[in-house]
Amino acid sequence: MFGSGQWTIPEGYAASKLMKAGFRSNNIDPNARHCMASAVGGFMRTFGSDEPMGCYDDLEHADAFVLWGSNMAEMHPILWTRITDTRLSKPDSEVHVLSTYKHRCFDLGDNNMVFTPQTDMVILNYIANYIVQHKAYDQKFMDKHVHFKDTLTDIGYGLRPEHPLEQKAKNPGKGKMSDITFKEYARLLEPYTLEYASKMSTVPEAQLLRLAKLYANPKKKITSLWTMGFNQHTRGVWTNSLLYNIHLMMGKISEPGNSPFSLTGQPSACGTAREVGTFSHRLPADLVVKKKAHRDFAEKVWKLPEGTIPAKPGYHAVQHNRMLKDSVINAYWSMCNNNVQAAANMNEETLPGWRNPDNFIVVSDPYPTVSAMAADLILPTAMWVEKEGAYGNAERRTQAWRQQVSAPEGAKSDLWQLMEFSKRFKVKDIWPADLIAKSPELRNKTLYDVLFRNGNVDKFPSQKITDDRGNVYANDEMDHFGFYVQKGLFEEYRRFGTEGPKKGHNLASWDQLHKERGMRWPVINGKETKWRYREGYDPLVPAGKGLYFYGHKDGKANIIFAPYEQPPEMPDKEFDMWLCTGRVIEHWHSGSMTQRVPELYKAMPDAQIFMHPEDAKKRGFKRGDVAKVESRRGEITALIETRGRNKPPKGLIFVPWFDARRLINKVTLDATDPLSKQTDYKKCAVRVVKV
Amino acid sequence: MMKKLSILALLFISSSLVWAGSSSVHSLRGDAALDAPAVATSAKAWAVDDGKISRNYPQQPPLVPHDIEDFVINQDSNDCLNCHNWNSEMPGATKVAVSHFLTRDNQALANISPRRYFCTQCHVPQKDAKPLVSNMFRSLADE
Repeated sequence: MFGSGQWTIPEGYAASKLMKAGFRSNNIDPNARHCMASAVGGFMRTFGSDEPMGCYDDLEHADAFVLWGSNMAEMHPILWTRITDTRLSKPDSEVHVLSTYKHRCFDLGDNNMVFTPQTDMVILNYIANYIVQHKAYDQKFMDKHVHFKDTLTDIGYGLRPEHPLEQKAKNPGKGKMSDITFKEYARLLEPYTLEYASKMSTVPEAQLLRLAKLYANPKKKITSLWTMGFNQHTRGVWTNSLLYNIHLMMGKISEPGNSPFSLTGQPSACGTAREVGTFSHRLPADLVVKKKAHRDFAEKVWKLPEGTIPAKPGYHAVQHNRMLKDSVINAYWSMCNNNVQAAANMNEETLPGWRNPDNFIVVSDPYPTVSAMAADLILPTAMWVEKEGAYGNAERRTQAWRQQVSAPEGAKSDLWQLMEFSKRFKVKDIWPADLIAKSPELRNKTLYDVLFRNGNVDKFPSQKITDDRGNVYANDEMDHFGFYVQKGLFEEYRRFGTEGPKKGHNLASWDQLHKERGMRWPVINGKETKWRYREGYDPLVPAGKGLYFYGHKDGKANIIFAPYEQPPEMPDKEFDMWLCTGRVIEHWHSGSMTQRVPELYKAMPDAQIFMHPEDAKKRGFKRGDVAKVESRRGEITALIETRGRNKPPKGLIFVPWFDARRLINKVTLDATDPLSKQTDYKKCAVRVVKV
Repeated sequence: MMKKLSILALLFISSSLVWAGSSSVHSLRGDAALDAPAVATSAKAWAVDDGKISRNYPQQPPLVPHDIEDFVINQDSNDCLNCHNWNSEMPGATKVAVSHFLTRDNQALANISPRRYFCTQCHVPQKDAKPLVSNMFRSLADE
């Protein structure tokens, strides 16, 4: 099953429970794998607990903002207005922007840096080296709050195991860390000098120095922000940690304005993908399937026999398409996303997988998408305002809403579809005898009975849904199933945070969430937490500790050294340009909704090839000409744009992926970070030629 | 595992839900098959309208009825405000709304609020392009 952060929290929870506990398969993953898996990896390795310590209030508290591979002006427009507000109204505030091409954020930037793809790692290590060389670090903070670690290198690129690059890698997929001393850490940083960083990145020395001095200044409060530039990166997990290293050495963390802030999941996906644990290796509240204690806890909450949840992580999103192609997965259900358009390397993996005659593929969607075109069955699906639900965003805020309108006739919510489907299966037909023997009373029950009529999920009877102003709302799922489904699912799920083995994931109750405009977890005694790990803000920090990274048992975070390693595919004589893909402000992801809005469509009707004017001239192109973008995997045609909002340096093109009529993912490479399994959509080699 | 998945597939097949004959599914690709080349397109000009483009609802940010390609909006200058600021003399130019002179905490300012400074965050011009699909949305202006 393939899902998304656009599942509501109760829906993602129901889907994960149905797959992992009902069908006893961990082959479920969200499209968040394409978006934030590297951020999760970085958080877990450095802090032992997922999601940021800070919150959006940092945007008013900081003195300086550093954007590391994030085009916030287009992708987080509301947050960008808050940064603009601070920058233009707070004296001495500054904005530094790093990217592989110029974009709208550069209009506000005080120090704009265009770097060669992948050399963000070099720049980060240079800044750490600068801090060490100038003894600018906060020694007391480091003594009290951090460990130093090294990590295995030469870890491959998450390609198929037979790929020559995987064959060549010494430690493919390995993330083992080992203890080092501060001295050893300092020695590992030594090669990352200003000269080397400038040479590798092509950013002038003066600008890198200015950035390093900013981080090294103990008086400046810095909020660092990143999205896909760090995460869609074959060394994304490493790179996330390289930034934490800098904040940790300076002690600039977990307080207003000092905030390394992973912006991923801004609207919704943190709640459903990460917190619910709809990833193939996760369970709710940072628990993982491979730990027995975690499975035991989940089985206890779910009232299921020991051994119900399989211990082995399932196939991740990129592996789904490969396994469909290889006929290893034969039945596939895709909800609330458009992965045929979104997944990399469409020609070699996605299409052969989805059109493989051995397979049966179901797509649930409100709109006929490119994925629906490739499906065997399409299930008409309700939109978010057509059901009650909740989302959780990047600042740990959980927000609930009520059903505003009913879905068009025949369309049902994802939750309705999942629960109705579960009625069609009996435990005795799909569970092995030895497992049934542990709970023989379940034998003749349906999965619906076992998972959703378990005394928890059906605990709250149907009721009239009203708000404090007396408005009355429908709840179509409650009417259909005969109990308050969303509340029952959420309240069962909430126990993972309040009673589970991992501390600090306490969520507000369903009823409270409906009264507030969202609350940031951990929510303790009805109060939210703005800055985690910091005494005075976070009640889970033991008194007198000041700061305590309780995601790890000893309360310490890890400074993890990782070297620069080159990307799997770089421009050469034959394919002489970098391709970077991404979004534009007008279109949300694959444009399946936004391209149907005339005003948005007309503002950005075609995905264009954003290109440097000299690169265009050299190839004989004028602005507006049709050109072909070709890689080793596929090709598309699009219009050349040399004066648009994105201004790439020579040698790089940017082509957005919203446009269903020109599918840039036919061209991209499905290399991933070998630790997070997240695809690097930002780097592959292409050539641009005449049609 | 395989058996379990086959049961899943069979159940889908035997259910009474709608079938997706792939030829009948029209995505935003139109009739182009998934393995067909990209749909042909051509460069489009910015739509220039003498008047204003009417709004669909009162809160809609007005669309820009002219080309803004060479406009600069950065820390030093804002070409839009030359004509659209409250005190501009340009006849016919829509004035920036009063809401744009408030801080996050609703304090009134003498000049445009910094958080509203980048006009293109909300206001966009239109290309001369025909929508890909029709739409059932009805403007409040037509009610």
